[in-house]
Amino acid sequence: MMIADPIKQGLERGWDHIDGAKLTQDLHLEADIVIIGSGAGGGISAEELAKSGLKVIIVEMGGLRSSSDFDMEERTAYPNLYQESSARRTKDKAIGIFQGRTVGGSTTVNWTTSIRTPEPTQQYWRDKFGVKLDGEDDLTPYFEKAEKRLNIHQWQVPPNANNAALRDGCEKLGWESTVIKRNVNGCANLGYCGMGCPINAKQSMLVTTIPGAMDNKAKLVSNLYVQKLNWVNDKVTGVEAITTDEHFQRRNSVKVTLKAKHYILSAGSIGTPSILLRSKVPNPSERLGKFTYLHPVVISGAIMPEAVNAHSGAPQSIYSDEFVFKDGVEGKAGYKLEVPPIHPILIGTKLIGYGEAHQALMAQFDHFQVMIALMRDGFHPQSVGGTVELSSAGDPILDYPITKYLWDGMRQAHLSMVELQFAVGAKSVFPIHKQAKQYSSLKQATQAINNLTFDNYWSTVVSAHVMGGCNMGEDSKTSVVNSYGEHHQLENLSIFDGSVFPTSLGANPQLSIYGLTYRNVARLQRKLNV
Amino acid sequence: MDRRSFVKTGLLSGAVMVTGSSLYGCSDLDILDSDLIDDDVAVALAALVPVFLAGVLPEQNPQRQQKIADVIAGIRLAMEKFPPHMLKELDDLFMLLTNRLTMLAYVGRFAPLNKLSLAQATQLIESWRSSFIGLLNTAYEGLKELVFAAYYGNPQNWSALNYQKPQLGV
Repeated sequence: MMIADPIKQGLERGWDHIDGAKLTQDLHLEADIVIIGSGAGGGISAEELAKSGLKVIIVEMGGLRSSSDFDMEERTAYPNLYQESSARRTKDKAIGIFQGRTVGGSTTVNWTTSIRTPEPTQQYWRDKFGVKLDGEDDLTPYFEKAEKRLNIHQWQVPPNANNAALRDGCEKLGWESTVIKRNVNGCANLGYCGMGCPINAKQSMLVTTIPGAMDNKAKLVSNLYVQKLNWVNDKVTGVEAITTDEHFQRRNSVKVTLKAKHYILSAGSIGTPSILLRSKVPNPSERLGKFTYLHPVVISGAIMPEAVNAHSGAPQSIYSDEFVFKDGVEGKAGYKLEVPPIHPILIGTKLIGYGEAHQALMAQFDHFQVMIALMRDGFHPQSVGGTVELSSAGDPILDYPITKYLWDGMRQAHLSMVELQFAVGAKSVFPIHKQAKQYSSLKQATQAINNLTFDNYWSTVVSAHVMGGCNMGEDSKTSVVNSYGEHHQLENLSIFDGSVFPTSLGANPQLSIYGLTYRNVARLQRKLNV
Repeated sequence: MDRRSFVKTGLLSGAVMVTGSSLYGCSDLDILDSDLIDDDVAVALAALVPVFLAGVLPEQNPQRQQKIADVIAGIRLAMEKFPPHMLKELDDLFMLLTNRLTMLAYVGRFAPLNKLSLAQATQLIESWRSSFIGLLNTAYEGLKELVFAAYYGNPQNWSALNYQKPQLGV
C-alpha cells in the first residue's frame, strides 16, 4: 500500500513553491500579504487570507518535508524537523527546548494534544492586560472553527499503557483526569507524531491549511531565513531575507527581498521577537522579547512490572489538571501532568548518568512509564519568564533563569509523579535529577525528593511550549501588540503566534494559537476589505 | 585561521580559558569551512566514547572500533545542521579536549586523551559530571547528549531495547 503524499501531489499539480536552498540568484517578491512562519499561526492565516483572494507569500526557515520523508527515526527527524536539531537550549543550558523548524512548524512534530485556553488563564489576561475576550471577541466560536477544520475530537481508542497509568493513577488517588482531544483523521495509533506523521493522519498545518493556501495560489518559500523587516515611521516597508543550504546554514550569497501591503509574523516565541529585535523596531513598552514562557517540564521515570512500550500508540491521550490551578491562578506554581512518548534518543539523552548504570536502565526501556509535569509559568511576581537575546551571529538565545518559586513547584511535581507511579504498581521510580537514584518505595522516594537540590543542572528541565515575548494587551505601555495581534507602533504588522500570550497557558498551546488566529485574521480581513 | 591552527597557537587560548573568559568572540575562524571533526578531535572523542558506552560496546576489535567510529560519524552528521553559535560552543569543547594547555589548566594533565586508560578516562568524565565549574559540567552534558543521540539513533543498537519502528504498508 502506497501512502499518498499530499505535498508531492500538490507540487505535481503546480503549487507555487520556491526552495531557497536551490535558488542561485537574488530574488524580489511582491504580494498583498507576507507571512513569516508556517506553523500554527502562519498556517491558519495563510489559508484564510488566500481563500479571500489575496496574494499570499508564506516564508519558512525550515524545509518542505512531508510524509514520504518521515521515516519514523529520531536521527532523521530531529536534525531535519526541529530547531537547532532538537538540541536548542536556554542561555545557561539548563533547559532543553523542542520546537519545529519545517513547513508546518511545531504542528508537524507535536503530539496532537488540543486544549482550549483555560478560563482562569483568559480571566488573568482580561484582568491584568485588558485583553478583549468577551462578546464578539469571545474565542469559543473560533475554537469550534479550528476543531472542525482540524478534526479535533476526543480520542476514542483506549490509551496506551503509558497514558493508562496516568488515568489509573488519578482514579486511585482521586485526582482529576481527562481524555485528550487530538487533531487526527485516520490515526493508526503508531506513536511517531513527534517525527512527522508518516500517514498524514495528524491534521497539522502541513497537510491542512498550507495545502489549502497553496490551492488558492499562495506562494511558499522554504529554506529562507528572515534577517529583518525594514520600516519607516509607522509602516513596515519590506523584508530582507537570505537563503539557507539544505543543512539550514545561511547563504549570504543568495538574498531574497519581499514587499507587501501587510506583514504577519508567525515565527513563534523565539523567532518572532528575534526578527523584531534584529529590525530594531520601536519598543516603547520595553517588553519585546521579554516575558517569554516555557511551561518548564520535569520528568519522572518508573519501571513497571509489565511491558509498557511507551513508544507505541497515541503519545498523549490523558492529562491531569489536578494541580494546575490548585493554589489559585496567582498562588504556588501549578503543574499539568501528562506523559511523553518514549523513543531511544529522547530518553537515552535524558536518563541520568553514563556507562554501565545508564545501560542497565536502558535495558529496561520497554518497561518504562514516564511522567512529565508542565509548570504553569508567568502568573506570579517570581515567575517573569525569560528574555530573547541575539548571539553575535544574530541567532536568538533565550535567557530563562529558573526562580526558587518554580523550583519549589518542580519539587512538588516530582512528589506527585512518584506518588502516582507507585499507586499504579511501579517496581521502582527514577526522578530525572542528577542526585536521584532508583527508589523502590514511595516513602523512600518522597524522603529523597524532599532532600534533592533543585537548582540548575541538578534537575533535568525541558520545554516544548515557548510562549510570550510579544505580549498582547490594550495598554501600549505594557504590551507589544493589542488584543488582535496588531502591533502598537507599526500599523501594517500583525503578530499571529504564541508570542502574543501574556503568560503561559497551563495547557498545550496549539488550539489556543489556532482559535486566536482565526479571530484575529477575520478582523484583519475586514480591515483589508476582503 | 582554521580550528586546528588556532588550537595550535595554544598559549593564547589556554591563557584565555584559564582567566575564565570565553573564547567566543576571540576566534574569527570560519567553522563551516573547516572539517567539523578533524583528526585530533576524532582521536579525543574515540577515547571518551567508550566511557559513555561502557557495557554496550563490543569487547573485541574490530567490532568495537567500528561502533566507536559509527558514533563519531553520527555526531559529525548531527553537527552539519547545528547553528553557528552551537558550532562555536562545540569548537570550544573540542579545543578543551585537544589542547594540552587547557587540559593542564582544567584537568591537571598534560597527556593527550588517547594516552589515558579507560579507567582514567572514566575518572575524567566523572570529575566533569560532578564539577561545579560550568564549562566542565556543560562539556559533560554536551558530550553525553552527542554520544547517546548518535548511538541510540542507530537502528543497529535498538535490539537491546526491544524497540523497533512499525513496518508500514506490508
